[in-house]
Amino acid sequence: MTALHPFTGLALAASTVAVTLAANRWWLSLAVAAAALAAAALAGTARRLAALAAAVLAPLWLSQLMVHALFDRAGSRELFAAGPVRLTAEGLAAAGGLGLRTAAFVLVVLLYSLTVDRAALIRALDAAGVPAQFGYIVAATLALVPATADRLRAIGQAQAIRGTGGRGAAARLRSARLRAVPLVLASIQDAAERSVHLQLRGFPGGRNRTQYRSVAFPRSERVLCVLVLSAAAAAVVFLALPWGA
Amino acid sequence: MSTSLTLPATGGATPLRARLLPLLGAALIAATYLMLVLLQPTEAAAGLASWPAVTAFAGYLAGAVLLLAGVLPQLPTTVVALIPVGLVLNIVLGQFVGSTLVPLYLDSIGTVLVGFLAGRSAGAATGVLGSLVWSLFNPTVLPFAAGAAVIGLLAGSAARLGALRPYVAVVAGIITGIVAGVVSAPVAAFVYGGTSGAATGAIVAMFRAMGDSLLASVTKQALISDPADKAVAFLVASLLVLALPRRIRLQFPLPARAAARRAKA
Amino acid sequence: MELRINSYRYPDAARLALSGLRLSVPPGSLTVVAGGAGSGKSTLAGIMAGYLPGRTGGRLDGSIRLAGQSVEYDGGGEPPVVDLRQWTRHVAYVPQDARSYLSMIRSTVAEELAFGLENAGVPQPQMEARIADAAARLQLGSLLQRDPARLSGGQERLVAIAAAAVCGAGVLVLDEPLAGLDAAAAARVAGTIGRLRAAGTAVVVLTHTLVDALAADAGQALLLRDGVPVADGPDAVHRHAAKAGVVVPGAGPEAALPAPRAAAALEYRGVRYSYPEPARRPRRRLRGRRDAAQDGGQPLLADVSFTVAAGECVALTGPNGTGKTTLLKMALGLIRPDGGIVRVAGLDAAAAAVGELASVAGLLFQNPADQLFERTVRREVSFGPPRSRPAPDAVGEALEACGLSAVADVHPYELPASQRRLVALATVLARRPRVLVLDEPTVSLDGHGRALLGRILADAVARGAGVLLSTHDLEFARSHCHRAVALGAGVPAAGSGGGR
Repeated sequence: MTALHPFTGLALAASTVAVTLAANRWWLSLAVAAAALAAAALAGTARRLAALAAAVLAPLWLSQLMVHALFDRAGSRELFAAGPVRLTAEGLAAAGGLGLRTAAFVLVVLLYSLTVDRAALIRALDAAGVPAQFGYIVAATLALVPATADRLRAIGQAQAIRGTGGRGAAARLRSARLRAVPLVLASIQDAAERSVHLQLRGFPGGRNRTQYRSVAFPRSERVLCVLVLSAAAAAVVFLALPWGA
Repeated sequence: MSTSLTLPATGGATPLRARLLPLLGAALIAATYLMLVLLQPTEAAAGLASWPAVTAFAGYLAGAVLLLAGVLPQLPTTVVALIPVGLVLNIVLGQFVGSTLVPLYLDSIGTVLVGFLAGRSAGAATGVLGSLVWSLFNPTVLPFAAGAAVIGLLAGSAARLGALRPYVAVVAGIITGIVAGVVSAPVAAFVYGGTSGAATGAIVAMFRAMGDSLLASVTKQALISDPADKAVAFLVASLLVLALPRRIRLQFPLPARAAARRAKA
Repeated sequence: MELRINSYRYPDAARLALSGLRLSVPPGSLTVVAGGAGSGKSTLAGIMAGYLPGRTGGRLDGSIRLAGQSVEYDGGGEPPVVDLRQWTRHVAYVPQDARSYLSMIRSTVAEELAFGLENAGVPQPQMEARIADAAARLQLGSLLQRDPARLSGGQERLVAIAAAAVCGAGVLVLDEPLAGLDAAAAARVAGTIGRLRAAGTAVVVLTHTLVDALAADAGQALLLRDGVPVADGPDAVHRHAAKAGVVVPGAGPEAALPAPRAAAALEYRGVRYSYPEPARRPRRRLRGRRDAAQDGGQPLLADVSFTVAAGECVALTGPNGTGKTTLLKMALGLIRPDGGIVRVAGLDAAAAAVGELASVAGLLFQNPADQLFERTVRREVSFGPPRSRPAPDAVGEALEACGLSAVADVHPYELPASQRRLVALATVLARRPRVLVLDEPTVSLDGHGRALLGRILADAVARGAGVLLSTHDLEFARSHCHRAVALGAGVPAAGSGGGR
């Protein structure tokens, strides 16, 4: 997938998600989820994909189970009942269908996110005429995550010797303030300074911005993108309209 | 070099695009919500029909992106540099305050902070951008972009009306929580058929057991947890803004405008 | 470029930030603008760079001639606004904090250098040629493919200067280009500046020290004090610099230090430390003794032993990246050694709680931003956990010693960098530590700040505290410390007695 232009992957992922969502068939969702995991295995990121997806999906599945299956009143095939709890086959099927649909969506998007070259995606967005601010914000946010973690570690050390820690709500509130305030102050101060220098380096530039390194978008891939997206759009309209399903 | 070193005295007027697109986006979000509420699907035993899911997902996301496309090119660079900080603070402060203090989400402190410092459009843009960026790690936030935009927008409006005083911030947070919760409920109900956590899921299940429809249950649950969550987020953000020194605060549009108004008065 | 600044005032400011300044910068020249903290150097830089007054509400009376055009300011509230995209073709400005100059959104140094060119719309082949040319001229070849986020302080500054120079601006304004660099890195930056001048670039250096190599080469010099030029020309500037708060060579303390006592205040015995492997760096390992053999990271400290006696001041010297900061943090138990023992006032630093160590020892961090969070200087200095809050008289004394009594009710962030550093120092002093550990205390201090620091060190030593400080400034170490301990790359440090 890394060899493809970032937009091709994006078009494929978006189409898959849209069709799965519109079709709302458990077997399609299951097939898409399995395919995403298989593709990740080929790309060598199956373990990361599974871990990330599990963290996202576990609470969601639990919630879906409670909302649809545990207290179901409509279903007729009762499997288990105790007090307010009433587990039915229909409720379980509804929760399972929703769970699989969500899993397919999460797996496909995460697969794209893990396999795409993010720098190339931002370059492609810049080249496609998306305002330069967008690329800057996305790239800067991703770069700030490790920088902020480092800063938080440094602040933690500096404050440890000023009396953080202790028990009770007051001590925890104090230590939260002790770390949050310098973090926010320093981060905003940095942002204010950097904005001056961004302007002094000509950011955001005008319509005639150029690119030092650009990503090739071959004609064949462009055609593929258009085809995939149109097919998906047609399928979604057909599947999702109330009389289509 | 013949090009002039200075800019013409009168600043260019906002292009039509910048005014039209956000309105169009807001209209699309409102229309999506109305459509979902008015044509609320009946629940068959076999599960939900799929059109509400597609409509909620596509309508909200497209509306949010339109909003962003109109707003983004107009933002001053000071604000553009601030937004990434807001997005990271959303995550960091959320985890941090959330893990040490209260069992709430608090994933919007950064968005509220940007709204307080840079105004409505910047706040809304931050909400949308946050959903887009963090969907790289947690795709389920993607369709909630519209709700996040509402939070940033209302934070900006609240700051104009003086929400920087802590007790006003709490009230503004509660109102924002109500609006954002109502706007986001269809996504939780129709796209996911549940909420993002076990505790909130239990509340929804309770309303369902009492006979409410799915959308009504999710909306009621949102009305219980969101106002509290946003009240805390607004309070924390307002305290953080107050902790900022004047010199830094005045570099951002809203405090600068307020100071100019005070100077005139 | 020619500047005539009759006056500049910030919005709501009581006094003028700059007044009566005239400066003309011919091609290929080196101009040094010296001044202490708050003397108006950064205001001057902002005006030269074109972002002041802009739309900030500042009022400028004067005129600027640049590239054959003249911009006139009448001192009113609606000044002409510079078109930065045109202006930056002629003037580039690199701040002291080079990291904030870099965009941080590019994955290699070469792309970072291209950032300004992209914004200016330079065609790709031409960009390629300019970057190759700049890299060759400034000897950056080895850095081009590196990640800008992983550069050392000196490399960051070189890349920032190159990123400014690659756009071909005729005037380059540099704020403290050599601050905080070790001798080797400073020599590289100075060499780069020389090569740029040879190519015809006019360089303006803003500085609060006249000790380094650049000051000696300057053809033009200007001394600022409270926004007013008080001396013009290299000789006159050197004569008056000390009084204006600029660091000058050969300014030692007034009195000799008393002899150290016998008791040990801080003791390192056989200390070893290796960097954890970056790939599998554990997330939460603030305080955990590691097994070095099993870890197998890059060795940083190998068998370091020395002792700081009570009433003794010891300087820790050596190039960047030799483990000075790590060694200092060990004294507060923030980092634990892989082997060996660190004893602080009789406590084993690896076994004692951080809070316990903090009650006997104080540590000044390199970056004051990590420490400061209160709304006024006084509250900042008085802060402490309920049981060990500094006494009011200790707070007053610390404020007085750091020259902060007059600004006790100001927000720490409103102060210039030099005073902000002193606020951080005051928070340490207010706790009256028996062991004082200072990480690069001289960096960003102007002449007045250094004089205060010298007096604080002398007082601490006189009352019997042990002081360990790290510094690149060998002259400061010679004149204010009993002796220096030199750390070398991977070489075990020997307690090299010397100095006085």
